[in-house]
Amino acid sequence: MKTKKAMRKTVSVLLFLTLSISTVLLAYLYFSSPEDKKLSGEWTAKLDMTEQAAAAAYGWLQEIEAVTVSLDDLEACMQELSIQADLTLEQTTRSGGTFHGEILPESYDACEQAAYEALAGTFRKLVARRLQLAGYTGSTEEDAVEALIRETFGMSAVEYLRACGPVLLPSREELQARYGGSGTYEMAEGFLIREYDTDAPGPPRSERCIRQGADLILAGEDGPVMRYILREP
Amino acid sequence: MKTILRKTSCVLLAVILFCSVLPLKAAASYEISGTCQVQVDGGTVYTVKTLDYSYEHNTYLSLRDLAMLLKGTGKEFSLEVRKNAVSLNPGEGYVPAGTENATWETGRDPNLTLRRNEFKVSGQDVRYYTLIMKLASGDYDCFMMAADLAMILDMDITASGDGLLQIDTGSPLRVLPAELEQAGYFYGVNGVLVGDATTGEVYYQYQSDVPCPIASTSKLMTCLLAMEAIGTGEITAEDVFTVSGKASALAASDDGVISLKQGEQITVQDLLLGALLPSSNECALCLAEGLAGSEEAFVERMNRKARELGLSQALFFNSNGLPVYTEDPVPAKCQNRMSASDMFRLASYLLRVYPQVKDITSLREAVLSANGYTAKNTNPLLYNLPGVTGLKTGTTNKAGACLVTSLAADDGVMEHDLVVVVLGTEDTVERGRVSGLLAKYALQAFAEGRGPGAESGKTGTEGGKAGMPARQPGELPTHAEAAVERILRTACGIWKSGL
Repeated sequence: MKTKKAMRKTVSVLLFLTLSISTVLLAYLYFSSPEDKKLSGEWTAKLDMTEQAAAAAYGWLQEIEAVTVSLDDLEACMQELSIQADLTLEQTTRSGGTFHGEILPESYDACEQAAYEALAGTFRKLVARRLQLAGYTGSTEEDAVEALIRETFGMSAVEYLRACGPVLLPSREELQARYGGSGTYEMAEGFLIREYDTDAPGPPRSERCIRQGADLILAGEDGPVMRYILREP
Repeated sequence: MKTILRKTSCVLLAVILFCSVLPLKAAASYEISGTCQVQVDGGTVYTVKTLDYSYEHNTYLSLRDLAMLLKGTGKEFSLEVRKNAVSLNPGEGYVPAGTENATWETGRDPNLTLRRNEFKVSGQDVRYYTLIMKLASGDYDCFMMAADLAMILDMDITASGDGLLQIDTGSPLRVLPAELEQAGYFYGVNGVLVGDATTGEVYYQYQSDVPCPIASTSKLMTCLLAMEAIGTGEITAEDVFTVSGKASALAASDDGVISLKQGEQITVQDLLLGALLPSSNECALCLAEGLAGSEEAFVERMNRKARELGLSQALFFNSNGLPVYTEDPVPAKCQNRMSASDMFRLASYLLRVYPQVKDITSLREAVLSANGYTAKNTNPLLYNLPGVTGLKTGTTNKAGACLVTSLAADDGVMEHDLVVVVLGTEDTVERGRVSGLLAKYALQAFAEGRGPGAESGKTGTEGGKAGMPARQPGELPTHAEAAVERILRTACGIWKSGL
């Protein structure tokens, strides 16, 4: 009798302890998820502009008669044209927080400059070829062609193309409108749903990011996929 | 009886033979002498003697009578007329011969032939068709079309409805193709287009989308392919081609121009000179065979290039524009053809990509190094208008007389190439006149900065490069091809100035 009572007491205590520990553990997991914690911080992404810039350059250069350049050649000389976009997430609730996105101005300027320099290089080559076809016996080296361009337009090839050539990149404002801005986010069913602050009437703009490993993926209809990587502190 | 019959037959035969010969000799030309009334600057109306050549209203006016009318005005000119030569000097006073502005003398010289007599204006050769007639006094008078004199003196001449010609010495000649078209001036012409090859702007077009035979203007495509081969390094201008038997036979035929012997060696440069200046068919054939191995292979290249350039109505059968016959039991006669719009596109491309072609086509003559032959340019406008730089004549029975003209015009920023395409006029007289008037119009339209569609014919589409902006001097070009051309002009300017 006494033994049965002791055993019953022991089992009850063990059950109670197990339940308590489980409850504490579940409460801990519920209120402090390691994934939510990892969302907070500075995220960064590279917007690849190579294809778009090459296509714009190709459309413009195609007009030049008798000499050709391929889209592949243009993409090859416009490699690694990218613009940095930053995203700051700050968790304020159990499953959400605020965000702020920005296109880095210095990154945009550097990308634009590189794009026009690549275009200028190709343009100089095509001009050199046309000079040769026209029977020109002067130098058609790159420096000489650049000098001719300056003589003709009163500015460098890059400056001329910026002023009068094709638009190679979307404007900074367009990119900022697309990938920048502030608002709130919520984690739900594995998606990070962002809702932008807006003064405009109508429903606010929202978009979804998918968590893929340690990255956040934004796949929009209007632009390339953005892969945000968390910057190490 | 038999003898009488034999003699009668002989007489009849002689009469028939005589009558069959006489019309050939008598039908060389005929002129209808008359007069017209001419008023200068709204002043007194004078009588001017006229000759209608072969047809009524195909009127040529007495230069002596006109010189007398214009004496003392801003368009006065001195005139010296000899048996086969005319010398006209604008700005100098006229010395009368005593026959001016009077009625016709009796006993006029019947041997009048419309020809390109030697004609100098201010000491420079020009190419106009005139009639020279000997007067009873022993002097000569020259008859010329009013439009030709208006071109020389750059003065406005209009015809009022009552047969009065009015000369305005204070106004330059203004050509209005739309009005000419309404009056039926282009009725006998296959197609016309006037435009700016540098920008692609079209100033005027008439039936410009209708395909028609183009005769020797085909050689512009032959030349283009030769220059392309030079540009890609396939050949050089100094390379020599060997004259084939076929080319030699062509040279010896009625269609031959330059005597070339089989086996003879001739440079590409000489062949280009021969093909473009005197329109040598054998030189074009030599180029074709030298570049492609055979004329058939070269014709394939011509048609391929035509497709590349978007010459939608173009079809080539040979390298030189002569008629060809098919190999069918009932052979068809074919000729190279394209529309005026196509020709404008071809000429524009040639001038933009290979502007050095004008170094050849602007020459009045050149000596071929191979055989010392003096090749003379068949383009009359080289003599008649300043700034003409080319390009090519063409004449066959079916094609009529064709002429593609290029002329330079400067807007203060860069030089433009204006192009006048005239296909299928009735003869060389009409070709020169129509082309000259339209070339004058091209310069007029350029100076006035006319845009596309300003003077448009019944049919036709944009003959030039679609999307090229209208000329805007001082502004930087926003189109790639326009930018390249501006740079090429700078380079050529530096190159030719020797800097």
